[in-house]
Amino acid sequence: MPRLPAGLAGLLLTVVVVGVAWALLVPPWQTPDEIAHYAYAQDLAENFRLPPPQPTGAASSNQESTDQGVADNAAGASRGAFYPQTAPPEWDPAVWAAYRAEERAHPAPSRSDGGGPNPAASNPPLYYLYADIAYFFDYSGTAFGRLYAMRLWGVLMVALNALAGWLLAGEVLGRRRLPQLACGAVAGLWPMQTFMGASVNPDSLMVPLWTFALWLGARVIIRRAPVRDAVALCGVAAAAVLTMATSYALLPAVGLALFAGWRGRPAEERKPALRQLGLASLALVVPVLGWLALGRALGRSAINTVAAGAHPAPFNVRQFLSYVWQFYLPRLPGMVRFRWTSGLPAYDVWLKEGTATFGWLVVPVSAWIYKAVAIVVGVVGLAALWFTAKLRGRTALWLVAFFALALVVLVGGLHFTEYRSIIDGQGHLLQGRYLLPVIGLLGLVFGLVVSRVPARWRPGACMGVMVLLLCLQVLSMSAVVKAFYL
Amino acid sequence: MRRSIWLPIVVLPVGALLALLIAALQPVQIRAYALSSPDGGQAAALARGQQACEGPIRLPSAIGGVRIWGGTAAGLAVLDVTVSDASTGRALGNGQIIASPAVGAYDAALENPVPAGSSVRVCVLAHGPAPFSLLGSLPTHPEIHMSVDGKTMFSEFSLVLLEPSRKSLLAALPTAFSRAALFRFSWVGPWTFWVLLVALLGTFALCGWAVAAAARADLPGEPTPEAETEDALPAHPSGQAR
Repeated sequence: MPRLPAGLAGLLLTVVVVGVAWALLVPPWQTPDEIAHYAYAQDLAENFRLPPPQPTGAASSNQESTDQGVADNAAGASRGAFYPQTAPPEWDPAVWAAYRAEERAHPAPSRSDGGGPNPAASNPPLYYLYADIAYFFDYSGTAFGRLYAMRLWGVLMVALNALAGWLLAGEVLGRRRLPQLACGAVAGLWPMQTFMGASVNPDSLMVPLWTFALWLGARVIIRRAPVRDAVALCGVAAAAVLTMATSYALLPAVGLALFAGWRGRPAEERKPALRQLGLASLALVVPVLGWLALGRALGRSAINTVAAGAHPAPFNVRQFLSYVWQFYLPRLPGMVRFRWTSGLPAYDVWLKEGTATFGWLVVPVSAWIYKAVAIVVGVVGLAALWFTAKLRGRTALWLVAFFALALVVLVGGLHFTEYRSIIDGQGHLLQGRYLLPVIGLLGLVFGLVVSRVPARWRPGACMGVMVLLLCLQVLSMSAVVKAFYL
Repeated sequence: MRRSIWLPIVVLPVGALLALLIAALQPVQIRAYALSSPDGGQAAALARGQQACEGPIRLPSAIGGVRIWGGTAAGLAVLDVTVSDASTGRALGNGQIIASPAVGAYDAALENPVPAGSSVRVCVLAHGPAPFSLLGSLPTHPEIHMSVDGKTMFSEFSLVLLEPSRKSLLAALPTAFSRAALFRFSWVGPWTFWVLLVALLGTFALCGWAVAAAARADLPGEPTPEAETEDALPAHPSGQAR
């Protein structure tokens, strides 16, 4: 049996420690949409049913069970969401004692009377089924015990994401431990990724599935589409789609990887391989079509949709391009303003929210930290672009195309969805965490640069990446402590 | 071990931990009490001479400052903040705020700390020249009432009472951890967060160990047991011999 490389073991242990700290430090239901996701998971666990969707603009009714509602009210979770400075989580031990007395009373608050319209209902159930395993770990305890058990269960996903990052770099850059370590560290220790992974949220499962898909896609391209790898890639992509509809964005890249792997085979192997790969693709097609059929049978949308507002506007290509321009570049005279952020939206949304903005996206870190991250990511990104531009060889170009397609389709789909939301009067919807599915690519960028540093400086470069990530983690946690507890 | 490996592994974490320690020694203002009324809307617009009051509030610990949320539409507004005994009306502490159009939190440092256990009422008196928009929400505490010029309002202004002196983040951790220990698993206590803090600091050493192990595995001509188990790839984009 292969031994776990010591570097990987150290990384995984580090990720678990940091993940557990995040899971327990963040107050109950103070991560994005955690109230709705917990309600979904609880209804699925207690009643084995999917919650109905919540019409846009409609008030939430009966979304939470009495059990969740009592706990939410005691901890001040809903009240304090978005307002940690004025309405921090309840600090009074007497309120905690009163809550526990209420929990022990007979009859105890019902856990099964929720299941009302839920804004998370458009998500497929795979993540919630996973989270429900942990729901039963502390079933006889309080709602908080069940919530925190689910969060701690999510730490496993953060560790798996680090492992997937390690494997991805090993496949693409060669089995060189320092670049692998740098890539795995970014995948597992990027503060927003650890924070989201250790919360009750389908992102927790979707992100490692994407990173594994990127690794498997690279394997399929490099190793010329072995059937086993093709099945694994299709299966992981299906699991990602069954976790969040965002993962449909992964499918073009998966298709490209299968094609590139197939094209890489000798001409005489291609024809028989076509049939094998066709069968392998059933691992993707059958579960996804099954979910689509089930969604139709249950009368629910199997993909995320933007509800039309009172005055929906038609899609306008020029306007869409203007919106994308303004997201990344300063607005030109004559352009209609699309977003209201203090700075450039790409910086405010992708960088700030994608790196370290906690709670319900209302707990930032100091402004200088974002600037430092922007400089480091910018310099490393430019260096990686330089090294990528010098790549030659068909396999390398297929790999670049595969990664680029995954990134472009995800980002393009997000912009398309937000633009539709804006012109339909539903407002902005992009958040930095929506880029986390491609955190493996960011890790790969760091791994690539570490791999190209002169050998004698390579341990220092890798250590620098890890120390910077740990410092970011500590500074992020101290921001959370100040916002919620001081 | 080679110098190029151990030197960064020792120097970088030690330097980082020192920098973090210095950051943790910076003073922070600690909330002694929060009304938990979100600053999501306007609770009152105070024109010159108008006064908003809120109470009674029993202080869990001594306070030395008052924080409110709001701003002016344009220009400055001077606000007097008074903390008085809820039953007798005797003033226990006074402070002043100069508010600007920047909507946000404003702190008034009290001239004298108000002792723990007091039941107090907090009043904000606007002196203009600009009207001050006081932020808050619908009432969430049945026993606490807000009034403007003596007239009871169906709202609460957001209010936080601050501890008399600032502490470093490091010195404030016991308070933070005792607050964080509530509403968790029944077995979680402040000790859990101390253990996690130590473990978190230990990850710097753990990462050093991981980098050292990875660097040793990458050294040319030094095959490791793990390297021997690796599969050889048929082709590789970097062209590196594997």
